[in-house]
Amino acid sequence: MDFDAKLSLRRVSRTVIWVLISLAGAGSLGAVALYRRESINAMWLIVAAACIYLVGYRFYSRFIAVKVLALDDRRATPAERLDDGRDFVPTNKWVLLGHHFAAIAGPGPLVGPTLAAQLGYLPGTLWIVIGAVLGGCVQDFVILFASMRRNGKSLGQIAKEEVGPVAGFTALFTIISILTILLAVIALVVTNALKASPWGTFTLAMTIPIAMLMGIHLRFLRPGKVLETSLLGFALVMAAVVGGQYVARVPTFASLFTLDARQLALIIIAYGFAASVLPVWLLLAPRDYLSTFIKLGTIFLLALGILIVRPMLAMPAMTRFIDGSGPVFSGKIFPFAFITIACGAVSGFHSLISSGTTPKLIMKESQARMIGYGSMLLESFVAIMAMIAACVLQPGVYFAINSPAGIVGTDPTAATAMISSWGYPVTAQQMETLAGMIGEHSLFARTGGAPSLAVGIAHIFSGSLGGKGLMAVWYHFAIMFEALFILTILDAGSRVGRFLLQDLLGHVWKPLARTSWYPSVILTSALAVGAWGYFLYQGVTDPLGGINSLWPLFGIANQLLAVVALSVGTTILIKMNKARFAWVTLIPMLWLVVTTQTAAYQKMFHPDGRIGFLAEAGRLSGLLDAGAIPANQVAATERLIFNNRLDAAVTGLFAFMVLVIVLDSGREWYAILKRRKVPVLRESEYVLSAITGE
Amino acid sequence: MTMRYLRMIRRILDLLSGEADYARYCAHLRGHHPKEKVPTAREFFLARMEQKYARPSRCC
Repeated sequence: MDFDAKLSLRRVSRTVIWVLISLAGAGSLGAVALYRRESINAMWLIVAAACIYLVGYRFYSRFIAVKVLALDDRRATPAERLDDGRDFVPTNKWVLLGHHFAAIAGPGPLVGPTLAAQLGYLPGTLWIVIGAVLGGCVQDFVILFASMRRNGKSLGQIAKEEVGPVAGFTALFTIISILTILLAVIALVVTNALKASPWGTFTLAMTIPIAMLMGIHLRFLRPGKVLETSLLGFALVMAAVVGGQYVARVPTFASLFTLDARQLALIIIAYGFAASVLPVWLLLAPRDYLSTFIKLGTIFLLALGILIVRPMLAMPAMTRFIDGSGPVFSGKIFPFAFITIACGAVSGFHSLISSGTTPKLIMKESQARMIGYGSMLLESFVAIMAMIAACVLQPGVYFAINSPAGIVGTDPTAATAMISSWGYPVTAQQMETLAGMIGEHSLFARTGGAPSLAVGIAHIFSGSLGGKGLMAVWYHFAIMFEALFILTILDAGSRVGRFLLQDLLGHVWKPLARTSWYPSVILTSALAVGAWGYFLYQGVTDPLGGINSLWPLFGIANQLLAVVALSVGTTILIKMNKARFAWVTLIPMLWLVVTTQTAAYQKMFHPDGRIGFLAEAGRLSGLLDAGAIPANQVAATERLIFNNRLDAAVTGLFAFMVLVIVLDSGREWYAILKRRKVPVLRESEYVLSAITGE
Repeated sequence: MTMRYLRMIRRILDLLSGEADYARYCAHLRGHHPKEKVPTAREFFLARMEQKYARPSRCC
């Protein structure tokens, strides 16, 4: 065969392969969406998602890379131009993909889908896959590109320079508020996972001295030897996971580690403050190494476990709760499915990572496609796995674990009878047996998603590795894995919050900006930790379990940040003279504006007290005025009323900021498109690249 | 053959974990700024940690 014939043969076979992948994706998605019999195998979800990701990556991300952003490998990246061997270093793209993925993957894509499983597997799965391919990946990619073209500037700086000072300030303010709500809600997830669980609490408590031991090892004995230190830490943590069951059996120790939600919340707040003030090498950094290794390892094992076990999904495609009456979170499928699943589909927080360290390390411009778009596809896949882990549980069991006591009560027989009456049969006996198998006293009202995810993971792992005998160990391993990296984010987030506050307060009084001046460190740490601590405590004292009010707030805040990022992206596209492609960022942005605004409006003004904060405050103050509240609960009720009003105000503030950003950007777009303003793009200079090849 | 693969895996792990960063920085200093003082490994890694956790490095 001559050369041309070979080439065209290759082209034909490639086309055939992509047609097959597309058909497999469309076919299995159709099967997932239309199958209405007893149960469906999880592999259909995996195949549907994987094929759509492949097609999205191959065609859509390529279109964005070539036509929209016009990535140019002849143009030197900041890593090449500013190479200083430390902050700016041309880095191998696979290594950078690993770093970037480890940075963006957090508890969000695990918890969100678990909560959204109350609607059935279908709504969440569709949003995770479609939202990622058309929204989340695009956001991450475009912001990574924008920051790479600006020497690694942060999202706030880019917003200020490209859109204007109003957008810049709003972006900064948004970042601090989202951080506060995020930290509160994930701390609540840990609290609910550990309450009345001596095994889990002991294991997590042990990670603190283990991390400190690692820190001392890294600091004094073997500086920078991260791998061996992490292996050592991992061995110790596994010993703590296995050893926790013996601790839980000795009454003296068990009572020491059996804590209720309020006690845990106060301990976590005190811990967060300590971690934010302590030097990073002692606790934060070693714990981060440990949690990153365990996180990546567990995600890999979970994928392997699902492929080996190929479990059946017990949850129906859609439950009756799409009408908004669900016990896990209240509100209809629109807009609340899109608020509940934030991180697995679109996560505004990623734009902070994409405009952080990563853009300073990219070797060639074209690699931004794999690192920006590709990492988010992986994250979305993690969300699909979490959805599967939640849906392998019997629906009755899922609802028994995730329904707060405020809805189903505290009596096991009454709770299971109520859940069974919804059409998801479960018995108190069944729940007790399951709790015994996983080594817990009770699995009722363990809201927040982590316990039911851990039961799902234990179910999958024990089906593939080690059998039912190890179920309790796998459960506590899964709890430890989630709690460990949530605590890492609490540490890191409180610290970042402290720096942001110091930066902000430094404008008021100079010395406050000094990061090594102890009075300022203590003051700003206390402010940052106090802010999320307040919402955390509000969450644990909420009769509806706290997740019901805090998780939507977090979802709204996170999607709001995505609106900021996508409107900055749209501004840049218009300024780059690519207005004809602006729909790439504009469509996901508009969709997020519609969902966040609707959700925010309903959270404030919905007449049903389980959805609307103000309605609940009104209902409670009505009860109070009528004298229907017992005297010993008056103070608690007054606090509830205040908290509901506060939540309404925070929601209103978020919604208002969305409007400010969108209007401010829209004004800029209009002026440029009407040629009333000359677009000034603040990219760094064009220098020819000297790096050739890969 | 196996040794080569093991070495390659070790290299990737070094790069991923950041263990290779110090050697790379020293090489950079020797190549570009031969007069500047080379920090010790401990100084280098401590400074890196401080810097890393001053900005959002972990996500939800």
